Amino acid sequence: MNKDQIIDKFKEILEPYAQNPQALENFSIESDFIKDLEINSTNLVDVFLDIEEVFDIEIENAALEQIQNSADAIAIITRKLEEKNN
Amino acid sequence: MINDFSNKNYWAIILGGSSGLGLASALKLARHGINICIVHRDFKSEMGIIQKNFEEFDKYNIKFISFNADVSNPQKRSIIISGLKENIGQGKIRCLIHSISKGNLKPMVGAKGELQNEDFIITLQHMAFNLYDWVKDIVNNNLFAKDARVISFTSEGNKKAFKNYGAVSTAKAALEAITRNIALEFAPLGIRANCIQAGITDTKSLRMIPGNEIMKAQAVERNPFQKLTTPEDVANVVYLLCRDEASWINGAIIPVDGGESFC
Repeated sequence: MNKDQIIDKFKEILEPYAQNPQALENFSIESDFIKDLEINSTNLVDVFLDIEEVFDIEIENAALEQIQNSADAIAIITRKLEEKNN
Repeated sequence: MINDFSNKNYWAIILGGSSGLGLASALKLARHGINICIVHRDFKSEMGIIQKNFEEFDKYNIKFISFNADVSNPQKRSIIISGLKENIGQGKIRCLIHSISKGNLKPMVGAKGELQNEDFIITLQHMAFNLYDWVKDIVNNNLFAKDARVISFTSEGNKKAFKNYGAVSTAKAALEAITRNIALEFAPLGIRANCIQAGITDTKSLRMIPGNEIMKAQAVERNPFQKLTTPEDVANVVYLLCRDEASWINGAIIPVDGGESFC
């Protein structure tokens, strides 16, 4: 899976939770979950659970705490996918 | 009285059954011969402990299945019900337990992160409205036993106000109202729906509430038995409600708290 494919899948995950459709439309990896995409804090957990499910990876608690924006999430997804394939 | 449900081919679905009241209830019903289907939503890093808890079910002569999925998602619900149908054979669902704890614990007034309209909607979706969706889908799939139980869990937050508990409190009031209406409108289909109002119980969900240490200390102080409610105390009453003899209890809110709520 290349970076664009990861971003596309990631955007699909965000779609049901992002309450600012325009921010999703103009998505950049710097998009902040709460400030830009307006994802409710309760739904952030869903985003991370969906990431585990969709990408079939495990994200440990320490890594979860470091995810602040889309760039962080994509970096972790990429790293976990690489670890899985090696 | 052990195994009193074996040979009946009964099933229980526990929404939110990987810990707390849901897990304790599932274990109690399993001990008495009811097959168990648990729906939960947890991170993979937590699955080690959860799988270990689920291994307990192997001790009993029952069937056990579990799904790690969002109970409020209609597509997932449909997948779970199909999966259940494959396992259930001629069996029927004796009991649907709603033990979902997922909501916002934000203050109404605070420096930042105040409770918003959408926080209510999300909390109620997970902690109240989805009970109706599950009952409806199970009925539509003709999976309930002729005499079946719907059990939901409420708390003293249904009538009392606690700081940060606004959305959950609203959800509990709604859950009670939905349970009561299920008790009324599904009675012709053999369903008895009741709410258990547990006393303060030291579960993962309680520990999420800011100030829970004080809540626990106060509960011990005022409880006639000077102790907290345990998940097993609640599970025991879930079992009682599942027995044939409980069939005339319908639409009730039953305190299971050692008397805590009247003190």
